[in-house]
Amino acid sequence: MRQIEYEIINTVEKLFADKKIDIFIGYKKGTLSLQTSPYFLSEQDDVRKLVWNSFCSNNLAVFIPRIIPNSKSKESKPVGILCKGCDSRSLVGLIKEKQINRDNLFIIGISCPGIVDRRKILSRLDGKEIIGIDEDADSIVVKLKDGEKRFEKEEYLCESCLNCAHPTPSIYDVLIRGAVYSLQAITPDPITKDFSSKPREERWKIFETEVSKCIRCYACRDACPNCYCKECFAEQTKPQWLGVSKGLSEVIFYHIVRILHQAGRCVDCGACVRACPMDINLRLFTRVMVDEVKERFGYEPGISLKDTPPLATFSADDKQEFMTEPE
Amino acid sequence: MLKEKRNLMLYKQDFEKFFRLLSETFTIFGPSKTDGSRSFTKIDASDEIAFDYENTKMSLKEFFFPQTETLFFFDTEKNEVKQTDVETNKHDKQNILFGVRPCDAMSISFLDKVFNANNPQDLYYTRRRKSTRIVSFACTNPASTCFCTSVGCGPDSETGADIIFFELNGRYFIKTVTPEGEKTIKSAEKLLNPATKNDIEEKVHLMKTANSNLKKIFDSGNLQKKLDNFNAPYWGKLHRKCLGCGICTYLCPTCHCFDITDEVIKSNGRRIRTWDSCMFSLFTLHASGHNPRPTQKERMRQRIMHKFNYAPKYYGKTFCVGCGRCVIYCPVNMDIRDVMKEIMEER
Repeated sequence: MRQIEYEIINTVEKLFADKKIDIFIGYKKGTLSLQTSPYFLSEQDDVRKLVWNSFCSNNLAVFIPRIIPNSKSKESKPVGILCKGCDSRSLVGLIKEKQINRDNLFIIGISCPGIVDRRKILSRLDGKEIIGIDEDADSIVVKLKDGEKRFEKEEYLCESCLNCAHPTPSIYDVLIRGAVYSLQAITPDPITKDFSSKPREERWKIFETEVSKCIRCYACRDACPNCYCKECFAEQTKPQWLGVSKGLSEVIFYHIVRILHQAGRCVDCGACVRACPMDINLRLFTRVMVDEVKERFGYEPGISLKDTPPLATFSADDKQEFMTEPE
Repeated sequence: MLKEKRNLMLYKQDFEKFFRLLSETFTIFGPSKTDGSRSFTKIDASDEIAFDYENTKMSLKEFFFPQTETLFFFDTEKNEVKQTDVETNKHDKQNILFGVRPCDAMSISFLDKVFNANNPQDLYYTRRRKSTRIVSFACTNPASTCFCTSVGCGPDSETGADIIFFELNGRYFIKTVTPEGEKTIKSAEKLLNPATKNDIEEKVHLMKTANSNLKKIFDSGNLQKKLDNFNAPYWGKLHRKCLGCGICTYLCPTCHCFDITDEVIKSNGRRIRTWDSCMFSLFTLHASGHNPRPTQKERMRQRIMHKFNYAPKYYGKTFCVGCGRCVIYCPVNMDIRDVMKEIMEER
């Protein structure tokens, strides 16, 4: 980890020195244990504050459409960004959807060993205060007032990381190779497969129970690089698609539309799940669509800049058993 | 105000009886084990209370100022307006909020200044407020994210509370703060004994330890002056990692902005008041399409300024109680303590 961190810092330092970039987005140490924070740095900022560890959980691609507002313009200098596998897949999506221009990016790719789920660890600490964290290749050591606890990373990774097929970025300008999590990725995802196999009523009940916790803070939307709409349907007033209350039908409507807008686009990074303050298991529903799109169209978003997104094209062989004849 | 605050003692083994006596007159709400201390919920038996909680995820404000409030119903065909239960005052049950953290109790005293002022006075908030007693629970083990002492609150702050509990070894030290607090425990008076000198000493010692665990990170007094510079250069930088979601404002115990909308299906409608957030782009969007706070820079400045500069000017109080919810739940670890430090360090 330290070695990789060192490599990142050196690379970024050189990018600034060579005047290739004016701004770089990476991670810095968080103010809370088990957390990091997105770090925007320019040449005068301290490059040594950049970190790389198992808690670099934010999908940094989310910031790109916000700081490079025009996809057609060629910025004088590209924006530097650190990308895990999933962050790079999001960037591929943004480029394909013409939200950003590839030339405006300088991507430092990093093969990712998986992000540790902070909440999984916290749930094992009975509210005890963390004094320090140590990390080696396989485990996280949490230091408490009355001793320490060791957590094997493999058991505490985020759900999306546990079944990640592409830990190495699909696009990059420089690649920093590190250890990647070695488990074989499975499609369909075992958790969502189990969900999909349940009867319709039961699935609806699970969906309803999960989204009923929603407080409509829109953190799931705002943490998602795919949600770049200038005006979200959830907040449109002309026409108004849904009410502003916290009523069940409103939150159901919001989540169904948000999830369906991700069809063929969701890269399963898990940013929405990690952002949700109410612990709604949003991935359960988005991952179903990831698997469905792969099964029906053999398409995985974010892997290649060339292939056409399935919902932007058609083929005579497309499965269409769900289509019904007009009566 | 109460002429003389009383210090009383209750043995823990009598708590169950105490709870039952109070629940004869009051409906009791508290942090409950069943929902993992998500919010204040109705408690039917004393053992449902989660005593070991740090703080509820949702703040106390939703009890008086719910996220969605129906103001009235209407019928556009019959040209009729129907009042809600709160308006017709059918809602006159007496409630106790039990186990409130001192920071949340203080936050209610701030919301009182907004909603319970003389003119205008908010009927919905005030009706609920008048029928509710607040029983605080002093923090003997503050969380690492707590910074109440930096903003004029503290682990044993009494502001906003009617009664405050301190958990001593095997017994509770109960201090009555208001006349309503006195009335609240009247039915359980026989279980309570006056506190002795030893009890008081134990309590003082306990709170000394709690206080020493809380670091004073910034001085909210100096901060107000510092923030008078509306165009300070740091505003151009601080917001960059902010995602613009509503977590900090929705979980904040003092944020109180709302929106009012009509919901109509055919001829039946209701006018509702719902939470709104200055972090949303829609918040200040004009009908013309113009937005005076066009980017997250202006929105974040508004949030900070409202709490630490405007509120002290209008209400004489910093509208932050240091509960740490925004620190814990921010998805990008935007730590308000860090933001404050950065602002203070700026020349």
